[in-house]
Amino acid sequence: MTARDAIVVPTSEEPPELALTTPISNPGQRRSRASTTRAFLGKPATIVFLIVLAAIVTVSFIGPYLVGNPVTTSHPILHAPDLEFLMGTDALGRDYLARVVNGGRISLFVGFSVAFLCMTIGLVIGGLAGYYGGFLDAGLVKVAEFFQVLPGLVLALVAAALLGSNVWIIVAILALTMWPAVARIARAEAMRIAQLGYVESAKAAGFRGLRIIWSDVIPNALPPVLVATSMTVGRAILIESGLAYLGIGDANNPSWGALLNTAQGFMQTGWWLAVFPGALIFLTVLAVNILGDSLNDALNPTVGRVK
Amino acid sequence: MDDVTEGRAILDVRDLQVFLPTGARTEIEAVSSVSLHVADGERVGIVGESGSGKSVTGRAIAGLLPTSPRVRVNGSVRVAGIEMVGAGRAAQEKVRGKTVGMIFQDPLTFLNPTMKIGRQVAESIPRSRGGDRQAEVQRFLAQAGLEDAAALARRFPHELSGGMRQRVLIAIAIAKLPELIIADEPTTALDATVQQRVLQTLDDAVRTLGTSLILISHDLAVVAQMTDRVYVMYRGRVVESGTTADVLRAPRHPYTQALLTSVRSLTDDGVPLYSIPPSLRRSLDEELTHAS
Amino acid sequence: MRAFVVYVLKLLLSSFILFIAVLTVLFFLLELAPGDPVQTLVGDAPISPEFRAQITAAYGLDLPAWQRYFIYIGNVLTGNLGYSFGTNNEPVLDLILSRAGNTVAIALPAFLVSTVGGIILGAVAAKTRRKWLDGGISGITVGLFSIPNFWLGMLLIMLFSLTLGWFPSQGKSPYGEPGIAWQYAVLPVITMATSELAYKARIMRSSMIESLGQDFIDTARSKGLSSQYVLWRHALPNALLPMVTVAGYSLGFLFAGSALVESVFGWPGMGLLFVDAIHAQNNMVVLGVVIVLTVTIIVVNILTDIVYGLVDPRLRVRFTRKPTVAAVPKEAKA
Repeated sequence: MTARDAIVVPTSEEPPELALTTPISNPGQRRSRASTTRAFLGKPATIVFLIVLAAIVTVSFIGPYLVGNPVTTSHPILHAPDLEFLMGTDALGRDYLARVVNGGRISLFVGFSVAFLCMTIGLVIGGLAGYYGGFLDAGLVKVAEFFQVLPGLVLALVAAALLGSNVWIIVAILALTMWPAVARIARAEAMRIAQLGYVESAKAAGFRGLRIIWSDVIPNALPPVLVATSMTVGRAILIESGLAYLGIGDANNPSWGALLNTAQGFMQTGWWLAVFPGALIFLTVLAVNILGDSLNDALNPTVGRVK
Repeated sequence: MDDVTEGRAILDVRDLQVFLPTGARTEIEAVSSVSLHVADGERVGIVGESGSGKSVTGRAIAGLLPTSPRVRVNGSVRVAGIEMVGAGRAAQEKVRGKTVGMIFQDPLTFLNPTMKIGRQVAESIPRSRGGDRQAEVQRFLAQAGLEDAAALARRFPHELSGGMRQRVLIAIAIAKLPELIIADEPTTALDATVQQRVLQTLDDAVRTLGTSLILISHDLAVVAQMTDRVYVMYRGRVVESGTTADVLRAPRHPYTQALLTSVRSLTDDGVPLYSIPPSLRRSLDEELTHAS
Repeated sequence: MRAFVVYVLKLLLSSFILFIAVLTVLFFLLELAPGDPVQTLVGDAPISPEFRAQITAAYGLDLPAWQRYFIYIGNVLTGNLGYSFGTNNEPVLDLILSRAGNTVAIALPAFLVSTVGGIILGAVAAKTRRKWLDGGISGITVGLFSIPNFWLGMLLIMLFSLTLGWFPSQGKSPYGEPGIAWQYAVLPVITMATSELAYKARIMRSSMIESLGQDFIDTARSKGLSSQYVLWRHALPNALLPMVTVAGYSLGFLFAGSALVESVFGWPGMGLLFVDAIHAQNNMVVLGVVIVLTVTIIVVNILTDIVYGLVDPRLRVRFTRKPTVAAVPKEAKA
């Protein structure tokens, strides 16, 4: 009998779900989906930043159709923000609000695609490596070490210098540098599950490794992998804007970082040129990081561990 | 249910109640209305299955529950006449420093991996005692059955075997020359062969010092061997108590009876395998809920 | 002692292999670069046919790929990182080393500030009972951790340089003067240190919380030791162990991030050299900086692993004590 049996205040646990691939057993002590969701949404900070992130994403993808033209240069030059030009105008007389709104797409696109790639690649390779061990596992460790020694920003800069500054190259390089971190988390989960007793008996009963990985390793690895992935989004956006700031990127479709590149020369005369795009990068990354933290707290409750 | 014994009580617990948090908004009553006492020089056992609240009781007596404000303790715990429940931190630390020593279960995790053995034992010796600390440390290590104490004191916990580490924990407990030692499952983490020897050492140390002993265990054999009196706990309550011989030979409470039967079914030949049936648990739970 | 030497040798070997792997990847990128390989190496500058022949010979550009590879590796290992064609044809290695000092001048203080600050902040957040303090510190660290460091640099310039005039905004010293004037370094160091400080504080906090939750804390408390003593002498040392690794590995990132910070402040270090070379398509310099950076990071990582091996008693003992059975004290017979 454990403390769980004697809980004085009842929690409303949902009956266990029957997924399409029913796990052979449920080795994790994770909470049910319902209480996790409740824990995730329970904190006011989470809701606030969910809204913030949703707003930024929406504005970045729908906004361009609603604001003025970011390219026309017919407005007054270097006009401070006021009611007419909410974010002022830049040195060529362009509506800055329009430019900032248009700048989000690339950063967000890079951020989320990199994260998605890292998650899928990391989950698969990490899961296989952790479960089967051997060469795959040793190889994964080596690859992770490699990218620890060659920072993503540097590699991306070199690649951009040699191969051109195409969005896809940037996404590819960043995904390449960041997937090992996610894979390590998946690997740890896979290793943990692989050595559980029931897996031995499942194998003896004839279940194939791939089946076990699909039905047990991956679902159990998903929560920590999700947390790691959310951290990846923030980092990818920061690196992408760093690259854009240094001049790597599409000159016709400047992302927020690229706007900051131009703003550098006008720090004295046009503070709004630097403040707004940077603030948006900051808010986006902040939102993603805070949501990642909340996700982490919701998935790994630590109870009364203070001694 | 309480036995009356003569002699000064080194420990007097009345109506102890402990609430522990189990979730963001949940808590559990780990100990509900436990009363017990230990006389000077007595050896008392607390026996029960996992989750019975015996460890929590032991920690509550020593004042070693988690320091979270959500932990609540009611009732009275008097150690050598000093009330521990509700006492300030300084008062509790004083009692822990001089009067009550505790021996924990898993010596690997209960010793600081980055601190030398000698220093960890020396910390237990109250400053006021003075004298040559190094010599004292070696004396207690030797008393705990460790050879070559001088060399040992310079080593780190991971360099020792499990049995040796447990002896270090014993040395730490006796180094403060306490009046009461609480041993919480002191041999559970050890191999069977080592268990006996460590128990013997504990026995000798307690006898030499004249300390009282509370031995907490789920292992009836260990309790039978080491204690004069025993309390049987189930689900946070004491369900039976008496001299060890009496309780083990002729248990009165159905839970104790069931416990003994299940143990005998494992150790004796010809006794069919027995485990406490759910029906018994249910009636026990009802009885205990009504009792509160 | 022998075990220690073996440990270090293994580290060196695997690091060397890692280095070769990096070089291979760089070579690969060079091969993938579209266009004229000579132009790739030389950049945009126009060149004479004799020069072209010279380059082709020196780098084996007319030879098959695998031969080029070995020439390339050989060059790097002997310290020949090529020549900078954009400027006055200096050897790349010399050029980089002349600028490296400037980068170290801001990276090292940033390292110290972020490590010390991070440890203190993390420890305070972990041990405090006041939830608002812990929450506040956590909130601030997440915020600092999410700021793009180059934007932070710009904000600092706009506030402290242009508006308040406390610090200069560009360069490392007044125009024409050699050396580094400390007022010029303040803002770059702060910019570099901030993000790392936040990161380390978060790690220290969770390390400390975990340390405080360990069983041996109970044993310490059971000795009647004051909670202050338990915190400083038991919890903190154990919490600091993983920080050694974190701090060491972060030095590499500091050097890498210098590209951005130096661009904001016009600080003439390796990072700015790197960025300028990229813009000028001076690819020998680009590769050279990456190689030097990789070597630096590898060396720092090796040092970190060695230091950690000595600091953690569990490892240190393995290296320094002789593993003879007789040396381990025996348990007394019962």
